[in-house]
Amino acid sequence: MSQPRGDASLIWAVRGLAVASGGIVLLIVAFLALEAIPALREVGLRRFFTDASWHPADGADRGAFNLVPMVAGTLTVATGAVLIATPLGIASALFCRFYAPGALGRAYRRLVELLAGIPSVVYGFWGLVVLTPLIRQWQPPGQSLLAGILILTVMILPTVALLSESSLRSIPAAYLRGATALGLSRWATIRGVALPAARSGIFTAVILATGRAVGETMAVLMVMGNIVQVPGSVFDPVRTLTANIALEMGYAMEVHRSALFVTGLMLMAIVVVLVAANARLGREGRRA
Amino acid sequence: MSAAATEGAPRRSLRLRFRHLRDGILVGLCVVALAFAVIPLVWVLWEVVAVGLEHLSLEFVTSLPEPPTVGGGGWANAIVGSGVVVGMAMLMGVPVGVGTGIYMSEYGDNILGRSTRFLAEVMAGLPSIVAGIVAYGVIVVTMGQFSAISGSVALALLFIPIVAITTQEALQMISRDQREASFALGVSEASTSLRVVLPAAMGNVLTGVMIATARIAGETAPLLFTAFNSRYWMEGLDRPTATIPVNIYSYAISPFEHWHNQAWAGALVLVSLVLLLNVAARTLWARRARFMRGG
Repeated sequence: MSQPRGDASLIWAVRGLAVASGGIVLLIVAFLALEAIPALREVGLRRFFTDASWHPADGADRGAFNLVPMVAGTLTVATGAVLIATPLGIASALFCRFYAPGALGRAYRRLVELLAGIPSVVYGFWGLVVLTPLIRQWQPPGQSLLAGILILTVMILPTVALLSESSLRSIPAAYLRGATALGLSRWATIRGVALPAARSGIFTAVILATGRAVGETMAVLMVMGNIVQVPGSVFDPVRTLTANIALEMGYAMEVHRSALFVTGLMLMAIVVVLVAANARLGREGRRA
Repeated sequence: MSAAATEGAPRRSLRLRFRHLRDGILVGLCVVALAFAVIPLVWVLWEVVAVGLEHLSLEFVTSLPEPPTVGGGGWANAIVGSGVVVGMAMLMGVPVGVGTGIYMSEYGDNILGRSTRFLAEVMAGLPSIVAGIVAYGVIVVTMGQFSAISGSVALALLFIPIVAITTQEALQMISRDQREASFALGVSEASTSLRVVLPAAMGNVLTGVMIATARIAGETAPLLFTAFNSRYWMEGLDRPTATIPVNIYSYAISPFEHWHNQAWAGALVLVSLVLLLNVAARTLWARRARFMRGG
């Protein structure tokens, strides 16, 4: 059979496109690094952690470049949200898989799939109009670390729940039948068989959720008050690295802009570490 | 012997009761977790629908914005702007994403394929604001002004990895038999992937494209300093352009109640579009999956 002539060049075309999209990632990193260099050279990495405050618009010599409050903001809000969303997400996945009647489990999955698609700016708007006034009644000012943690929890819960559920669903039926044959209770089956078998999938779920929490901008920007300070309590307003970029990039010049690219590079580094950890541990999980 | 049995019986039933109790408590905890997970999500959706419907009108989707003191007005320019910015991102992203997916699935069993997959996963985790500052630094700073095209580039960076990964997975669902049948007829590897595997997987590839579209349609952070905003009809691809998500943000943080109401109406328009795309995508996927199982 004669081959259509164009088809053979297809391999080269798709190889070219694959190289292009891989290359885009490398170019992004290179560009961030290039833009970050002036700040790293003129200010130095150390001053990002030791300067007295964040006043980057005054230039490299007179300005101050302390990123610690923003780093603390990002870490506390992401950690808080992941710590709450992980048990809730896994428990709701377990319920759907092992306890709920089939129809309820399916309905829950459909609902969560849909809600996972709601844009973050809408969550942020809801947080601003509904959630922060509730917190203000309890403990002013309302726009706070707590509001950020709660809104991020709501946003990453679907990720944890859906991915955990699908990895619980992909456990070979023989494992579960074996557990039944041994007369294990449902809880013993879950603890001894299901959770260990689904471990690597659940780990992936938590990693992806963490990445989302660290990178989220709009929702935290709208509910956390954006004051540059290391939070003393969960009711304090704080600013994250992402919110800092969103607020200042539009007018930042010279070394100030370069300093913002340094924070972009930091975010990128966190993502690379998370993806690499997932790739490695996921492989080990499959081998085990 | 018999003494041990009579002693063992009550203890065992006690343990059994303990196990039932523990199981009951765990079910309770799971239900509570489920409620915690579902209530806020439904609450958000309810707020958007209830308040949004109240303020949605024909004027809102057909006219230009008015100052908050005047009242009335609409977001027609932002609706058009979102369509154009997202559409151009798709024009750039679909060929690259689908091509990358085909490569990773059909020819990717080598170092290039595996590193592309790793890089695609990194790119899928890229914080959207970082995509924004890259497009800002590369295009906006170079052109000297905010533009629709820079917004599209930022969105394309988020679009490509999702399409690449879903395409790869869609192609890998096509069974080995179909490829081998094609090879047995003497069809080349390239023609097999182009004329046998890709058509068979087309439904799921489209699903991936729709899910990725839904995702970028709601993105706000990358557009803040790329497409920026505008009060007028779109003037060109090289001009600042209003989009629905950025409008929701800027109206939401304004102090005017009229603008808050409009932001709810805008949120309803955006959420309906995104949910519609998602539902269509999932339905398509379910139908294809059933078809491929031979049901």
